[in-house]
Amino acid sequence: MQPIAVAFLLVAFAVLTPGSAFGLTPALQQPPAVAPAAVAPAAATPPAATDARPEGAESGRRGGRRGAGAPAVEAVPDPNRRGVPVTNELIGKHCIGCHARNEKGHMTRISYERKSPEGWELTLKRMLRQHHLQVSQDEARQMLAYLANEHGLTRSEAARGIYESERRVHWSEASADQELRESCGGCHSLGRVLSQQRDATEWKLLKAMHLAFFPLARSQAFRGGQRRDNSSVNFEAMSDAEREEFIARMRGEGDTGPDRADRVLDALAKSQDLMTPEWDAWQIERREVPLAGRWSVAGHEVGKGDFTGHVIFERTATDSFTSRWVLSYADGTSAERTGRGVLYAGYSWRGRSQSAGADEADAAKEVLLLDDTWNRLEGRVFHGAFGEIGADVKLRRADGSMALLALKNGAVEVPCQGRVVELFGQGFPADLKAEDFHAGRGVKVRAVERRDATCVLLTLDTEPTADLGPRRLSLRTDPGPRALVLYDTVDYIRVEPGDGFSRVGGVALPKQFERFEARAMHRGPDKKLWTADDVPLFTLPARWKLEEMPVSEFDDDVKWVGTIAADTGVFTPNIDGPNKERRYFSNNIGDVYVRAEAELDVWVRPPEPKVVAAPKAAAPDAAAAKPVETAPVVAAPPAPPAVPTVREKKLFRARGHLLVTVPIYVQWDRYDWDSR
Amino acid sequence: MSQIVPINRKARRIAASFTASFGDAHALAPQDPPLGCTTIFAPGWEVDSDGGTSNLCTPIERDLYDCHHSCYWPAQVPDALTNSANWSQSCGAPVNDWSNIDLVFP
Ligand code: HEC
Ligand code: HEC
Repeated sequence: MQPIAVAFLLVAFAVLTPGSAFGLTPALQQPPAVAPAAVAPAAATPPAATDARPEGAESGRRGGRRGAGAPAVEAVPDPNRRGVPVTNELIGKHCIGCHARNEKGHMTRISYERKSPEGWELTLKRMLRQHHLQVSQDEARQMLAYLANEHGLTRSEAARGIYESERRVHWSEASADQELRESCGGCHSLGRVLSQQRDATEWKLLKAMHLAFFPLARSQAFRGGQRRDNSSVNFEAMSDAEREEFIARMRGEGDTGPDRADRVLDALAKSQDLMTPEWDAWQIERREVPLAGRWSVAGHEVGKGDFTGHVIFERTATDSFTSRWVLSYADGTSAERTGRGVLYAGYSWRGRSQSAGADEADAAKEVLLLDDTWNRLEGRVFHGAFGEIGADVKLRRADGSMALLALKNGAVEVPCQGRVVELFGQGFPADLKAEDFHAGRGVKVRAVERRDATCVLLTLDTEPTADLGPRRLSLRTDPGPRALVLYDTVDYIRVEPGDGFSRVGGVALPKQFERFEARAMHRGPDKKLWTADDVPLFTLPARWKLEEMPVSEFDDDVKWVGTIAADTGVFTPNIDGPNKERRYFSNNIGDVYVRAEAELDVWVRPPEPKVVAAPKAAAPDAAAAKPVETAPVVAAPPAPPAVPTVREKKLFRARGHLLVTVPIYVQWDRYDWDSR
Repeated sequence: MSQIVPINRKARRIAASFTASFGDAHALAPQDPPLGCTTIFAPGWEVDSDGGTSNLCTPIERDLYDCHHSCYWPAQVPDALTNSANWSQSCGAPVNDWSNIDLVFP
């Protein structure tokens, strides 16, 4: 028997025996003695006009698998197992051959999993690639839309792994459970795992799928404990028998007892169960969530700065909308984009938009999550081969009510006179007066100039004694955002992101770009630099440069990794491929520093007033059983803060780290079927 | 360099180079590798165990087909066992013909 047939057999068996009676994946405990013929002839549904199999995907070397026989094992799912009934005709038609259905409309596998649109696309593509499902592009799209919607995630479930859909590069999974990270975060991000809900059986079958397709996963990640190095395994060079034996060993046939992956999957079955109270509530309460109308937009794009504007959603069909975005950036430029999108399962927006006349490459994807009040949407808009170029956005429904949403230059020096701050919001009334605003102790609102219903200019004075740090700026009945930030001087600047990431490319494989910005920082209440309480103030233009990060003896990375634009901080990696001019023909990869330099005109902070030590209270008698009443500590009267009187032009420098690394040769996250 | 103590030669050199030219070494205390970096296996695909690139196989093309045949990196390199049996056929010797290597969209 071909080893690959073993692989398929295991999986096919798993598909067809998902009964809740199996606590463990039967396939793992004993290789089933069933022929790999488990795939029903129905899989060979009439080939459609266009094959939805994505371009470039290889279909593996197993041919002629379909139509090989009829399912031999109990095929109909247990009606007592809770599941999501399948109501879509296409799924009924195309998937029924391998995924049997019971009288409740539950289909094996499909009814016991819920996931993000991206998660469903991965699954559908595997059905095409591995299991020779044949459908047209259009049918694939329709099935995906149905699954993402009716077998999707609720709001809080979607929020947990949303960074995966948002394709965030700068995100840390370090705080995730250690066993989960080690078992499941080694090949792909944990986001893929976190954007799924399944029942216990389905979580276990996931292990079966991995072991059947990627048997090394067992020793690499699943088993835990001692690691075996399999990096020199060559399946091609093995004889059939050797290969079969090896794979069987890797899959742990003969091993007993649960491993680390089993523990992790057990935990997931509890924390990410198929049926949750929130899902049940959504089933009862569900309706089409009304998204249409105007929304205010505020956001930030690394390298471009803050932007504000609005978007208008127009409903075209159930849960489907067109979008028109009008944005203006801090640097004075503006953008108008049109597009469309879908609101999946009531809360998950997936859209795509582009500016007029631009080609498809310019199209940006939008991943937004609606909040419980249906009044806020939040997420990321991005493009680039790796989704690496993007902006964080926050939307607020512009329903005519007044709201103060963002301050465009809300970091204000202490002391200062006549500083103008630009407010962005909606429904600003025509009769605004300075008294309508409240900026707290030590800050005076001197004048108001209303530009229009979305823009107001405030003139502020700050007293030398004003408390430093972020505070609210409120407007009449609106508490406003905590976005007014008072500071006495800039303590340092910081490079963001602190750990840049880029991939060489441009010849065989795409480049992954990186962008940097410099942000002015205040030392915060503890008066120490580089601590967690430091307060970000504003981004500022800087001059950019790469520098060597000396790691090895003959380190010359900075010569090869690529270039950073001196004025914008955009890093363009060098090309992929071996570099014949480099030692060992190395790729153009490496570790370098990114250095920013900027000048600022700031207050010189006067020396700290001398701290007069309070007289020490008598130490309580240690022998006394009851606490001794100590005399109240008399603190010295606080010295009046010194007022800064001198300004200086100061040169600030900062460094960040940039990792320029190898390409990847498989791109799982090119999602091309969501109806965006 | 307060929290992070250099423990090997390389780290000490980095530390020295920090403090020599900047007072901002705290900013550069290594954070986690970016998302999507495969770090857990030794070495990782994108970064080595020191969080850098200096201990990666290089050029990557020299090792690529080993990774493919051993299915060691199924999420980064098309695997020979399951998804992409024929991937290596588009290009004979990757170190020379690397520009013919296919990017696979599963
Ligand atoms: C030719 C047989 C075949 C057809 C047709 C088929 N599948 Fe599958 N399906 C399988 C096999 C085998 C597995 C188990 C291995 C795997 O997960 O790839 C599976 C697994 C699944 C899973 C579980 C995946 C997971 O993440 O654990 C889902 C969900 C699924 N299929 C959905 C579908 C849908 C939806 C369709 C129709 C569009 C479909 N399948 C059509 C054979 C098929
Ligand atoms: C050896 C590398 C590797 C490890 C370790 C690994 N995965 Fe995966 N995983 C993959 C690959 C490759 C795919 C894509 C499979 C496909 O679609 O062909 C995948 C796909 C998935 C999917 C999507 C499947 C679907 O159809 O929805 C989920 C969920 C998943 N993995 C969860 C896990 C969990 C949970 C663990 C830990 C128990 C884990 N992975 C460990 C390589 C790995």
